[in-house]
Amino acid sequence: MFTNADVASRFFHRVTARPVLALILSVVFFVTAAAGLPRLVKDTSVKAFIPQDHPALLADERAAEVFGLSDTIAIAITSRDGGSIFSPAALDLITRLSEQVAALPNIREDRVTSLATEASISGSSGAVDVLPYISQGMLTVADATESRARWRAMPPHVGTLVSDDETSAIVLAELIDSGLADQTYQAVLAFADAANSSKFEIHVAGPGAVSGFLGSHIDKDASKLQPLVFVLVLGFIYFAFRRFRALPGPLLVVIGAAGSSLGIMAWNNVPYYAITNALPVIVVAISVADAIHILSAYFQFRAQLPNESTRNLVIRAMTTMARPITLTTLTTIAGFVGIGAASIMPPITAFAWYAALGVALAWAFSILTLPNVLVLLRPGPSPAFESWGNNAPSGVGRILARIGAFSAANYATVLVVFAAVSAFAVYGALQLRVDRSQVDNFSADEPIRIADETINDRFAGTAFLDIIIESELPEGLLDHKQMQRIAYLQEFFESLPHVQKAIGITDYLDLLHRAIEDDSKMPLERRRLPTTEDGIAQYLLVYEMSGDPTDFEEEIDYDYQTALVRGILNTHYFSESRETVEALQTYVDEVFNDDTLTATLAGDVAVGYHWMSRLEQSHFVGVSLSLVLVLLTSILVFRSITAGVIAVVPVTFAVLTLYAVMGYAGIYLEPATSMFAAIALGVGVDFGIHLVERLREAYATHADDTAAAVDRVLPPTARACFFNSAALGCGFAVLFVSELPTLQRFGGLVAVAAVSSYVAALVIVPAFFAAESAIWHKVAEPSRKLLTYSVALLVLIGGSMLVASSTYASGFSAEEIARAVADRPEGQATRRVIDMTLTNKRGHSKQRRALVIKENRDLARYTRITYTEPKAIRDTAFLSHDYHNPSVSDSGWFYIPAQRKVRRVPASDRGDYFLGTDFTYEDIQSELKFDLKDYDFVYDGTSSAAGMTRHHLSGTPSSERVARQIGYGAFTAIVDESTWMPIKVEFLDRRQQPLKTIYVSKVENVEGIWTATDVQAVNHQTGHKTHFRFREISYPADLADQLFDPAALMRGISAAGTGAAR
Amino acid sequence: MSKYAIAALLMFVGPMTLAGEIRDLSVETRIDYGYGPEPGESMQGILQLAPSLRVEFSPQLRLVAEGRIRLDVEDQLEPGRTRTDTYSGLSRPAVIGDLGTAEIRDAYIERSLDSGVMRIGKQQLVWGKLDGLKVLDVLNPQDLREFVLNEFGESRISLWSAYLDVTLGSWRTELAVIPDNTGHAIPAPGAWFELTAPRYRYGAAVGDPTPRIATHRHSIGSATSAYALRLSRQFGSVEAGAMAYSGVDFEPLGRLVIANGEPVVERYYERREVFGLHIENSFGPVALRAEAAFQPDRYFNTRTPVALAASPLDQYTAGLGLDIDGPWQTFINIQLLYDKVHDAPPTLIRPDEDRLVTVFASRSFSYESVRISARYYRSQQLNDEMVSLAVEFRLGDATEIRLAADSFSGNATGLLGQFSDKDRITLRLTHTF
Repeated sequence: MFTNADVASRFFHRVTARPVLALILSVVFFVTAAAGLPRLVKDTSVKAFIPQDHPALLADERAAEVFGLSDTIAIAITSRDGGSIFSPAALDLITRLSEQVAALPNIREDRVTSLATEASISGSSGAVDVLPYISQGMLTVADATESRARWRAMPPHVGTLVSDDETSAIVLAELIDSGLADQTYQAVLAFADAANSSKFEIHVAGPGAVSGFLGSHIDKDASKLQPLVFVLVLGFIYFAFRRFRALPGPLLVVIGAAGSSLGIMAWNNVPYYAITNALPVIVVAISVADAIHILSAYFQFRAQLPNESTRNLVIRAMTTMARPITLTTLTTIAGFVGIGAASIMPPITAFAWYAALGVALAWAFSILTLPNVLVLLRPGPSPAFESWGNNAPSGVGRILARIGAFSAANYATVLVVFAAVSAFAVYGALQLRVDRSQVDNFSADEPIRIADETINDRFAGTAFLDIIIESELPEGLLDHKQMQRIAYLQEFFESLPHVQKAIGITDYLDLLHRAIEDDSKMPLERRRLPTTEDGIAQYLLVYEMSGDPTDFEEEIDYDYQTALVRGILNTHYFSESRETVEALQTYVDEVFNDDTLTATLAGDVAVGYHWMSRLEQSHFVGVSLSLVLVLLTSILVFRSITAGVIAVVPVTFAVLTLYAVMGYAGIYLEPATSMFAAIALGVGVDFGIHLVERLREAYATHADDTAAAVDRVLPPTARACFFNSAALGCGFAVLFVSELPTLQRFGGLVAVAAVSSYVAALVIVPAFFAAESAIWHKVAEPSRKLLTYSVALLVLIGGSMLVASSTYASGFSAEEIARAVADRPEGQATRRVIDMTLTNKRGHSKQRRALVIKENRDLARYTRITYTEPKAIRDTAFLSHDYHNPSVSDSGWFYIPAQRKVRRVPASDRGDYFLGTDFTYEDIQSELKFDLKDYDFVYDGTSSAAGMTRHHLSGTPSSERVARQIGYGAFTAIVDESTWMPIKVEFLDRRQQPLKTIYVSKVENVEGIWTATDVQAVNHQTGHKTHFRFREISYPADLADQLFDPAALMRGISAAGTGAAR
Repeated sequence: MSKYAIAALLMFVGPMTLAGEIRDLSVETRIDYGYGPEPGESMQGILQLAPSLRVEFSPQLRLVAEGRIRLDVEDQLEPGRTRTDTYSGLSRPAVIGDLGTAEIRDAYIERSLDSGVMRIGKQQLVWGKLDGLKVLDVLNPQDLREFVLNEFGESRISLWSAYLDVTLGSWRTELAVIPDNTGHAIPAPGAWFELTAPRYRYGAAVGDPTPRIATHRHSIGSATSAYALRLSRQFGSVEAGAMAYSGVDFEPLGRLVIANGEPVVERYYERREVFGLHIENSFGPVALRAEAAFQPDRYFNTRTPVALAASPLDQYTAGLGLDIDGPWQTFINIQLLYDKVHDAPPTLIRPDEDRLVTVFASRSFSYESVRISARYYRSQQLNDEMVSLAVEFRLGDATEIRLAADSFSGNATGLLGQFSDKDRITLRLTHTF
């Protein structure tokens, strides 16, 4: 429509024929659309980001339904002098606070948990005593001491009700309505302030408090600051044109587009999610951009044609600007379509589609309404455009044109510098971490953050990961075998990183067991359960005689069909809790679940994990897809690959800069910040499109004379873009003054996006045009070589990425444990198939399969690994001869089928990682044993789980040389005494930083030899995981010599040689 | 090999697969785009399909077959209709108009023995230990359409042969009989990597018009078959071996003949013998390999102003290679080659000595998802050089993207300098179905 000037001119003649009518129609449309706004429903919860039928969400709802769980507020009482909380004064304070909190309207009275509401279980000679910790009436020191002793004998309450060091106690209160969390938090804070004294310090936090406080404070701060943003943006528009009559038009476009899009969203019953806050920002950005360009053109023509009528000037301006505005609208919409199409999270999908709608409405208002407003208001000449009357650009325009001209004249330098800056930005972007912790939304000195950190430090934590266990039949959980499985599950759960405690019904059954069986001398760490058919039912009946039958309603349901195990983690960070969630899910899927008993993960940590995992999966795909769509749209509208690519460079640079800033500044990529990329897209695509559009036209008329084209085009276009960028940048920079880091980041990053895309457009677009013109047609050989080397340099810069990418039973010494592990039988020879899964930190996996044969002979240990899947690496083989004599060099060979030859390879350092996995050569060779010569061992104690004794062993390399060879600084291991197999080994690197953890999830007895059949390594520094599953395991007496002959690598591996099918 | 022969072979292979179990059936698809910055134009736009098949009849007996269809829309690597006159009738690819070729790369039956393997069919036999340097890697000719830039396995031409590899005691014994006398595939005049150095143009100076070339090939028979024997064994950690080879030279000689009244350079082939030794060992982070070859009475062209002749001369070649596990997990390979034609007359069209240095470095990132590599070749004779930089991205197991830049510089008469205006930038996408 706007490609032909005559057609466009005629169109705008018709549009401006009846300006009042057009304005009335616009207002009617706006009012109708915006009438939906009161229907807008807010949903700022985490759960909105996950599809409603997602198992984690369903499990969470089930947990709430069955066990009545809801968000909690936590009040911590800490003695300032470090004395025990078991004192009359402290216990009295706990009682008072518990009663006050329980009386609040939004608190579930029956769900206040503290020393004042809970009881201990003890007993002897078959009698069970369920006694409250705090009795009625005046408390004496003796009462407090006795209460303390009973608390110590209650493992589920140690670290949860009272901290392990006894200096702090907690009151947990569940909310009725999370939407009123902020009011409740304020009320509790009032109680806390009143209770603060010289003896006791009170902190208030917890998930309910944090999310409620955050939600309402974001709203408050935003509602204070956003009008200021608005005023500043309008202020810049005024400054650009210095005419008040220039303001109503853009104002109408902004309000019309933003209000209409939100209103239509409300009419369609789409909730206003947390991420929807970005939508008005984008619509404002686009509306302002379109308006500034149109007004610039109008005032320019006004200055050049002083006698022309306003209507004709408007038509001229619209004819000139309609096409580029349409192009930017189309490309921006394409970008949002990409985000919407790729996203799997409903709020982001909704945001993307309605942002696209908002952009389209901004275009419509700019094309149809703004010209009519100008016709009606007839803005006079602008002082800022006076010099245009002599066809001389204004001061700002001149300066910007000079910058562009400089860039075009020195394109090689500019492009090389740009490449270097981009490489620097890429490096920063690679530091970007996908992570989330809600407390990071507060500044470090915010009381609620201090409170949350204090509570996490002193207690088990406030991050809950729940497991809902359901039996096939009612009363199925009264079966002692099923209950034992739950106990094993809990023990596994507690062995996982960051899990401080896992509390379930089995803990209470264990206490009942001790009381009834008079077994108080057994270590408290072991959960012992009755082993008779009706034992559990009988224990619970005995409990009901002394205690409240509803005491266990948070652990098991009335029908004894559903149980809850609550894990308490000491971290809210997704990056830290994810390995716990994944390991637990794997255990549940592969070990626990069967037809009679199923477990599902729930709780904040599980829901947050799925939310963040989805974001991780879809965010970059969405941004990449939207950039590709923007590129394709640009190519289509310009009908030129080169022009399309050049137009997209500034916005790509803006997105990259955004990621780089986030990477360097340690701002996580999480749902709140993920929308910045979309904003950068919306804001940034404008500048490149406008400049490319105008430069192409100018080139056509100036016969490829770069200097003349730049001189002609840049002043008006660059000026308009400058004010656009400045309006947005300065306007949103205002949010920097907010107290909330969330809003500071929001404002700062939008400003970064606006400024970086503009600067990139102004500097790079002319340079690219100049380069295209000069290099491909005119330059002599030496410069072509320079280009070849430059491209090669870019190849390297673009391709380079740096990757940062390591027990003792009573009666054993450390060396004895280590020797027992080292002497564990492993067979003279072994053959097995490994299924490998390699997963990077983004969750992308690769599968491999290999046949491994090993034989330990007098001279050396021989290992041969032949890949059988995937096809790309089939028959790739590795062979090593590791000589027992340290003076003899080890030998290694590699066979790559494509090269058709066996290659001798340098003997690998033991600490080198094996073929893209997280296991080193040493790990592969060692069969999970510790070389006695390599380490100095320390015994760290013993524990038991699942009825088995586990030894804790740690070790440090015996010398610096060994440390260098093996690549580890230290390790700690848990060794199962029954198999002498380490089941968990944590490695530190040589800087004593956590490096990786190896988990052995399954150990089987194969031909009399304990064999690890499921092993996983998690690299904490790179986020990469390697999972080995072993099968078809056999231990032949020996293997044919030729299998370990280098020549045999080329010959393949046959069944006859290894005793199994290939 | 004509299209009909390929079709016949396929018809034979097809039913054979029914007798066995198909272990692998896949198609590697590759798109190669190349751009020459100096002329400012695209120089290759290749679509390559490489279907491969592995059928197992028993744990010891299998059939391996791989084909290749290559179509180039830019047609600058092999302009016009691909010339196949350097191929024997057995191995000749089928030509698809001006677009490209279809050929069988591998088609052999392999039988595992108790301590060895036997293979009959079209295959590659790689006896050299060095990378890209032809000291002992003399059993298969090379396709030179991309000079040395193509990966070695890609550019090696498979030959119909019978091969036996057995270990007798501590000795590994390899025998090969190769009736296929295909020579190097030499780029046609006008091709991007046309060999323009005088040593490859029978002494004609750079810039001289290219004479018409005809190829004279002997028919296949025992006189044109190649025979090779290699013995090797481990002495502790050292592997050492010796080989002997007799077969038709892959590099053609030239002679001037008159055809239809005009001078034509006729390419023809003589036999040659190669006697070689190799040794390989590793010390700590270094693996070392060395090869030496002696070719007695090998024919080389000599040229005077009035005659183009060939003389038998002795040739000595030695190569040394080092693999180093460098710092920051970088792999470094350094190779030195020395080649000498003994008692070379001044009229020899090639230099009497060649000294070549190659350096290769690579590093992987992100658990081998990304690899950057750099290759540097330098010919010491005329100080001409080649630099090649590449970055490869592995997206999953089946897809790879490779971006590379190759640059040559030096004297136009040099081995590498002859391509000094043939720099290129390539983008390759490979996916295996």
